[in-house]
Amino acid sequence: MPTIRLQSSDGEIFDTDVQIAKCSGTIKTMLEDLGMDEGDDEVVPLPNVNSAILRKVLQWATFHKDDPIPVEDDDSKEKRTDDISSWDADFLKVDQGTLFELILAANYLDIKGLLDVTCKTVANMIKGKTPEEIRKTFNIKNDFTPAEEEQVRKENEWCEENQAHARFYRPSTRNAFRG
Amino acid sequence: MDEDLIEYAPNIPDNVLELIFSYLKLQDLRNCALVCKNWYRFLCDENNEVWRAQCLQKVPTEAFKNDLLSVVPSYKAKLRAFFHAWNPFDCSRHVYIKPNGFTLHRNPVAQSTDGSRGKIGFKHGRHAWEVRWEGPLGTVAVVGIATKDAAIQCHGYYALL
Repeated sequence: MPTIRLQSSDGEIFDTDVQIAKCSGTIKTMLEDLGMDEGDDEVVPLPNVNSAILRKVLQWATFHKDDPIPVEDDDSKEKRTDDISSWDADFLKVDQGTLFELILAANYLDIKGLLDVTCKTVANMIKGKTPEEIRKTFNIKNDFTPAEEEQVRKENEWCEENQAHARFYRPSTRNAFRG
Repeated sequence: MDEDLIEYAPNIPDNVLELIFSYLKLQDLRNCALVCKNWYRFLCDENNEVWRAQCLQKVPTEAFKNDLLSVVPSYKAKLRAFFHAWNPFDCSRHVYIKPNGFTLHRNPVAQSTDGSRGKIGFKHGRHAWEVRWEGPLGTVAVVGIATKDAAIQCHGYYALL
């Protein structure tokens, strides 16, 4: 089986099956552009991915190497986040630093499947939470002044659950004739 | 590890933010806009993919078939306009809201005053509507402000507002 050599940012070399490496759009393009032939002993440097993360990425890519090409999302439908496979869910039981490093690596390496499932995982961590709970979950600092926060709140009042959805398309009590 | 997190979450590249937000509901997007300035900045782009998808998911396709919404400047604004437009379940029984969500048709019933309310109202601020009349107007047509408590249908001709 043809392999190529991937080098992580900290210098570790990963001998990788070409088919698996090519699930990365970035590596695929690199190989094609550079005209690298299988069997070349050349090393592909990946300066944005450290060895711990690259190992995880390759583990994911190996498991998913036979996945069918994903179909384009239908924009007119709400996207699901409850369809993460149990293998992926287990794979992503990692600390948050690792999760975000995987996202950045999937983004850099252009691995759509991995980027989708990691972003879904983050979306699930956001869903149903208040702004304060979201900040706490991701350790984000609130950099709004109270006045700015109030302004944003007002701008988006119409998006609020009780406003936009609860009465939305639900018959309200119709007012009878009041004379 | 805590220190790492500070570096990650707020500094996600925009294309990744876009993907994450594309999985969220409107209410969650509203909460995300309140999290930090960077997320707010991203969501201020009212024509980005996130707002486009939200708009296409909720606003009926019929509304895009003519120039009805062409003057509404962004996907987010179109969605907002749709929420403030007629509620098919909160109007007189003589009124029919067309599938585009914006056109109200009143059946010509004598001795009846008929109204419709928007799906959501306003609590404050100045608001402007553009109203286009189509076809014969009947006796009298009135546009005005009412509360959620105002009657939506009366026998005879009364001011509902």
